[in-house]
Amino acid sequence: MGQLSTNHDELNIEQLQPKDKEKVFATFGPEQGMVVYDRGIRRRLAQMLQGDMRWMRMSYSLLFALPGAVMLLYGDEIGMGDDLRLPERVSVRIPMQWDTSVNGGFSSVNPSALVRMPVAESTFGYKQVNVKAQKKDSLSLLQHITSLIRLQREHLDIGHGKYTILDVHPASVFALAFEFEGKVLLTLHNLSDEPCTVVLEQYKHTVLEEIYSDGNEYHKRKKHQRLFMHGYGFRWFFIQSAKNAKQSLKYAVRSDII
Amino acid sequence: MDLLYNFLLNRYIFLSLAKQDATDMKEFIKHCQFHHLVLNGSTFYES
Repeated sequence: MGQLSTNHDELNIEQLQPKDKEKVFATFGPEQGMVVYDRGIRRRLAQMLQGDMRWMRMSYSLLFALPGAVMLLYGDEIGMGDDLRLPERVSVRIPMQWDTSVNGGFSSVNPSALVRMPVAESTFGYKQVNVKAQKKDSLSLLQHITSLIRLQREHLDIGHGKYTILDVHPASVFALAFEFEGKVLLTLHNLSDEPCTVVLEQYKHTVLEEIYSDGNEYHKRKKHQRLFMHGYGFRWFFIQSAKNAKQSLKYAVRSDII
Repeated sequence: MDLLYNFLLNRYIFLSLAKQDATDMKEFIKHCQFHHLVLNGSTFYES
């Protein structure tokens, strides 16, 4: 998610139908100056998602759950914003925000000598959003991305296994199952800000072992085909037949990412 | 042709996020599967 992310420095939506384009522009680039070349949005993901941490966490989880290699634009891992005062696509090419020191830790030179100024005062500027602060915060976006990287590295099912998109209700939920070496990895993402319940008819007589989620309180019963999802919630499971459930520990992920 | 479809996936993800409805991205990925088109997350980016 190039930038779910946006194709590096622009979310190009050229090939969508006109009414769909309109919807994307209205949602993610509603103001003058946010759209570039009449085809794309020149904003970073964090600002397109209005800085809503639930929405961002779910979106990145979705990115890591999809098949293939994941690429992130620098700074998106901490939710850096953009600078719309800069022309065209340069708006997203702002200096990395390392800490709260001069120039956001990007450079120690006199700020007047910088080719491009870091963003300081905005909600997304380096005084609010930086690597140093997020390293210390277990609930930060950076820690979430770190957990997702570990999760994907430990479970090669993603991208290597045969994948199936499950037809589930409501339509806001994207359910994807990977099969790999006899295991099934199931991921659920609720694209809506409204909570919901998902019924998994496909997995009767199975045991679902939760390995990662949005971190809110969920009832972790051993057998559950009715799954509650928070608004912008996400849940990752291993699925095994009930008789093999005892062996599930073999596949358990490291405790530091649960 | 594969690459063209991969570039498009990104758009459908954002469309689904905007609509808060996963249908468009689901249908697109299913379409790619049906036509044996390779989906790769890295191509969410477009150089």
